[in-house]
Amino acid sequence: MLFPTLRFGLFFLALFAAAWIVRKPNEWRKIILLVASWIFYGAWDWRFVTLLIGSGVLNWGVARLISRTAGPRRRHTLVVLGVVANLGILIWFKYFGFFLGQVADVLRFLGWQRDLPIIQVILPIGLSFFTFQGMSYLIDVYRGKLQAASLLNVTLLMSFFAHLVAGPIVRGADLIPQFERSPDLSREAASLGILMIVWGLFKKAILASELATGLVDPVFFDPNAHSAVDLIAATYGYAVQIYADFSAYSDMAIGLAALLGYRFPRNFDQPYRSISLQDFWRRWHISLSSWLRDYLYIPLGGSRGNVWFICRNLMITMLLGGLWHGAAWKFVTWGALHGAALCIERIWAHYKPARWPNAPKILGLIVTFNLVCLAWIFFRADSFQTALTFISGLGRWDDSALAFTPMALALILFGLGLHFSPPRLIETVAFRAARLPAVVFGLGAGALVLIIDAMRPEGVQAFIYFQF
Amino acid sequence: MTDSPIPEPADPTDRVAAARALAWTSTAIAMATAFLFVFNAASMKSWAASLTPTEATAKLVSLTSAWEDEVAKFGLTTPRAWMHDLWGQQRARTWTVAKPDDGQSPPS
Repeated sequence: MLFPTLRFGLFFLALFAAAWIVRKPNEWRKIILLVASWIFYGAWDWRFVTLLIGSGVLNWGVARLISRTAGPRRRHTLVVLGVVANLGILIWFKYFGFFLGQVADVLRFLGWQRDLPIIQVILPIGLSFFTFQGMSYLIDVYRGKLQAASLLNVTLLMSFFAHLVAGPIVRGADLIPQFERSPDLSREAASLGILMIVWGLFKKAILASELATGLVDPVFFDPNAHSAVDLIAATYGYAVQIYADFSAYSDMAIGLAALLGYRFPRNFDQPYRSISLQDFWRRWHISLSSWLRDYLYIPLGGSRGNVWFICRNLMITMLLGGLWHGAAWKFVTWGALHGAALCIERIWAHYKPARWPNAPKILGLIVTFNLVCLAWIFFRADSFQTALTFISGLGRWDDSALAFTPMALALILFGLGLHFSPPRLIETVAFRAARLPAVVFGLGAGALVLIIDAMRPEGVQAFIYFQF
Repeated sequence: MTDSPIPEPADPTDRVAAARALAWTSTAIAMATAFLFVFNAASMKSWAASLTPTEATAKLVSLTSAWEDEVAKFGLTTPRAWMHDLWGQQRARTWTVAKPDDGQSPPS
C-alpha cells in the first residue's frame, strides 16, 4: 500500500476518523493504530507481520530484563544479546545471500570449487528501519535514557505505519513519551501536516517519477547507448530524483503522523546546499546519520583522539552505513567514497596552515555537490561494473539521440532550486494558511492534489528506500 | 524531542482549542475529499479498473464509470483533462526546433 495511491487515501481517511473518535481511552486508540499498521504492512506480505510482532516482543522483553537487572555486567550482556538478536534478523534476511556469494567467490578464487546452498531469502520491506529502531530502543533503556515501555507501546513504536517502511527512524525516546499521553491537534500542526502530504505527493509523483521514467532509468539501464550529455544529465537527475523520492516519503510520514497527533523528527534539511560532506550528513537522512553517530561513531571513540583515529571511526561508520543500504559492493563503494571524503576534510582541517585563507563557501558547495553526485552513480547503478561503465562514458561526446529533454532540465533546475529557497518555507506558508477558514483551506488542498494527479505519469513507482 | 517541524499545541491543557483544531482539520479534510470526489472522477475510475477483477470490483468499476459520466455532463472533468493534456505536451517537447516548410521541397 503506497502513500500516493487512492487505496492508501481511503485507508487513512478511515483510520483518521477511528483514531479521533476513539481518542480516549488512549490504550484503545493505540490498539487501533497498531492493528491498522499491521494491515498496512500485511498489504505487502502477511507472513512478515509475524516478524514485525516477534521483533517488537523481543525488544520489549529484553528491555524489561535490562530494566529489572541491577548488575552492570548482566545488563551489558543483556543489551549485547538484544542487539545481536536484532542484527541476526537483519543479517539473515538481508545479508546472508550476499555473504554466501562472497564465500563462494573466494573459494572459487582459491581453486576450491564448491556448490554452496543457494538460499533465496525474501527481504521484508522496511526491515532495516525497524531493526535499527529496536536496537536504539534497547540501547537507550540500557543507557538509562528511557524507561522500559509497555508491550503495546514498544510494538506500536516499531510497527507504526507512518514510518514503518522507509523511516524516518523515530527513536523510542521521541515517540514513546508521545504514546503515553492522549494526543492533541493544533491548527498549525494540522495545516503543516496536510501541506507536507501534498508537497510530498508533488515531489514523488511529479519530480521523482518524471525524472525516473523520462531520463534516469533509461540512461542507467544502458549507459553505453548514451552520450556524455545524457550521462551528466542523468547523474544530476538522479541526485534530484533520490532527494525528491526519499524526502517525499519522509514529508508524507511526518504529515500523516501530525494528523494523528504525533510529532516525527525532521529528516531532510536542504542537503544540496551543504558546503562540506560533514554539513551534508547533517542535512541528509538526518535520522539515520544521527543514529549512526550516536550508536556507532561515538561508541567507536568518535572525535576523541588524533585525526587518524577519527578517520578510522569515520571510515568504519560510513562503510557500515553504506552496507545498511543494501548487500552489494556498490553500496559499500558509496559508503567508502563518503567516508574518504569526510576523512580528507578532517585531515585538511587539521594540517592546513593557519595563515591560509578558508576556501570560499561557493567552492565548497560545488565540490560537495559534485562529490555527492559521483557517489550517487554507484548507488543507482545496477552493479559496480555498470557504475564504472557509466563513469567511463562521461567523456564520450557524440551526437547520439538525447534522452535529456527540456522538461528534464526544468525539473532538475527546480529540484536543485528548492535547496536555495528560504529555509523552513513550507512551515511559514502552513502557519499562515492555518488562519484560513477550514473550507477554503480544504478546497485549496483538494485543488493542489487534483493538479498533481493530472500531471503525474501513469502508475506509481515504489519509493527508492523501500528496498532498504 | 529531536528537532521536529511539527509544532506542539501552544497550551496542551486547552481542551476547547484542541476540539476546535480537530473540527477545523476534519472539515478541511472533508472538503478536500469532496472536491476530489467531484473533480477527480477519472482517477477514481482508473483506480477501480486497476483492481483485481472480482464481482465487487466489477460493480465498483461500473459505479465509478457512471459517476465520471455524470460529472462530465457538467464539465467537471474538464479542468483535470486540460491540465493532463497540457502537461503531456510539455513532456513531449524536445530540443529539436521544427523548421517551417519553405515550399521548395520536391514533391514526393
